Amino acid sequence: MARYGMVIDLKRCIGCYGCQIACKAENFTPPGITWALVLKNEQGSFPAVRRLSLPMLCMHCAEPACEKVCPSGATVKEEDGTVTVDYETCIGCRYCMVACPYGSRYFNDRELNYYGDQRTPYEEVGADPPEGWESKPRRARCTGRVEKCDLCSHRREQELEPACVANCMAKARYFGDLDDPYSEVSRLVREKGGFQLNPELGTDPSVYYLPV
Amino acid sequence: MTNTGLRNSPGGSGQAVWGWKVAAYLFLAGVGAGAYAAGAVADFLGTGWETASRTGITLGPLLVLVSTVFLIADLGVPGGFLRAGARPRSSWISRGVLILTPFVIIGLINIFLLVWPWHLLQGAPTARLALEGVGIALALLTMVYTGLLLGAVRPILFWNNAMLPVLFLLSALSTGLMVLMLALSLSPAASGFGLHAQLYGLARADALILGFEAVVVFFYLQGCYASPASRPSAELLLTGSLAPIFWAGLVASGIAFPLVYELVALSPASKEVETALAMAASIFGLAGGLLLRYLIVAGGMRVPLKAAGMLLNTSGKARF
Repeated sequence: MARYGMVIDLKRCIGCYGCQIACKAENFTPPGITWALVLKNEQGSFPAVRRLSLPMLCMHCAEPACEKVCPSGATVKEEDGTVTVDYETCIGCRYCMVACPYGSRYFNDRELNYYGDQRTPYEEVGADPPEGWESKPRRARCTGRVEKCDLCSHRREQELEPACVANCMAKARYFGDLDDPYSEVSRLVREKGGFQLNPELGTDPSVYYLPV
Repeated sequence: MTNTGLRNSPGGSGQAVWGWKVAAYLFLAGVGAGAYAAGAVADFLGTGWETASRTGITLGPLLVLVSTVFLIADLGVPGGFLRAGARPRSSWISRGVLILTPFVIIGLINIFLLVWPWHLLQGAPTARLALEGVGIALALLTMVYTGLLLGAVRPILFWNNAMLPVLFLLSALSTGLMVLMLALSLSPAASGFGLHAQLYGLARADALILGFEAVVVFFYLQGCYASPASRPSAELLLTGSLAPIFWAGLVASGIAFPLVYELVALSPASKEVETALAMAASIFGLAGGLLLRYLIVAGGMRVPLKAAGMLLNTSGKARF
């Protein structure tokens, strides 16, 4: 048993959207679908203004609200702590999207390209990957289904960190096993006051944030 | 294309994941269950209620069947609808499948054995009452379940509310009575004495239920407004982008007009029920029931995320 999770240091994050774009490039997500989304907000008035960048992804909750409401059993809490969607089983009812407090789930209602009807060579690879290509052909498979971050399961199989973590130029993201008390993520949560988003909703997310 | 601070500030629009098809489903399931329950209760009342009870028992299961067409059409994979019943231990959609299926089956048996093509139950009052008793229980479950389906969503406090199943129950009963009023007033024999008395009785029952529903709408919104977490949803209905539909569509046309009509029609001064007015009142009341479901579905707003002393909204976000 493991509980894969992530720690995001909001003090180090510079809000560059690098994670968001790295995720799109890695997972071939179509327009409108951003498994790793950066939320931004401003507060206060001049001169006392604060800005916040909040990088989002699926929180891979220990008590996932999406999994509880899923009527088909497509959403599953895996042994390694991640929450996954089985595209073969999903019926696209979107109850999980309504129930997720974090807006981390996306409905792929029809095939959509970035530049009109014609796929770019890059999108071609995503839709129909060549033999031996390690990335999963997610686009072609999941039209009419709900999809979301799976902590780059294909990269983890090769013992690589998720793309958003590997690509973060500010080193604000850490990936690891929260069940292991000696892991870097556990240590950061413990020592730097890591917090979860809206824990009062009872979801117990596996993504922690370090305070600004 | 980028996210701006303004977009993510608390407030903004309601949820857009579920749209009008879900609202239509919730509405039609409610009308169907309400019509069946009204018809079966009218059947218990005995002679003089045949038209109302036969109409309700026939319309109810058929309307619930039509409602499922909207639900299935809303799926991303309509052909996979059979998988929707796989997880009744935790999902209210699966539980709904296990409530609607026996309801429709019992309802169809009831139609086939009582109304058309056979009339076996006519001479067997005990079997009829037993079947209809089970049918009424399943109809009540159907009405309440539509509220629990939304109520199970914890981050949307506009739905996660104990009043919602009560509101949907009352609206289902009221719209069920109204669809019977509409059917009876459309019938060519509406001016006949028998139908007249039944129409009068239906209007009397509906006036009571619609009156309760108006009170529940008031306290539901009052409660949502009083709590900071659900106030944005209440404001969306009362003063925001959904306000025209709420005030003109639901409050004035969908509740006040039919209620006033029913109260006037029931006053001792009025000697007969105007079928044209009864027809109009029930059409407006039914439209009000549909708008109520739409307003509640569209008005649901997720609680904002709290981080670093700020609130960030997850609905209505810009993506690329």
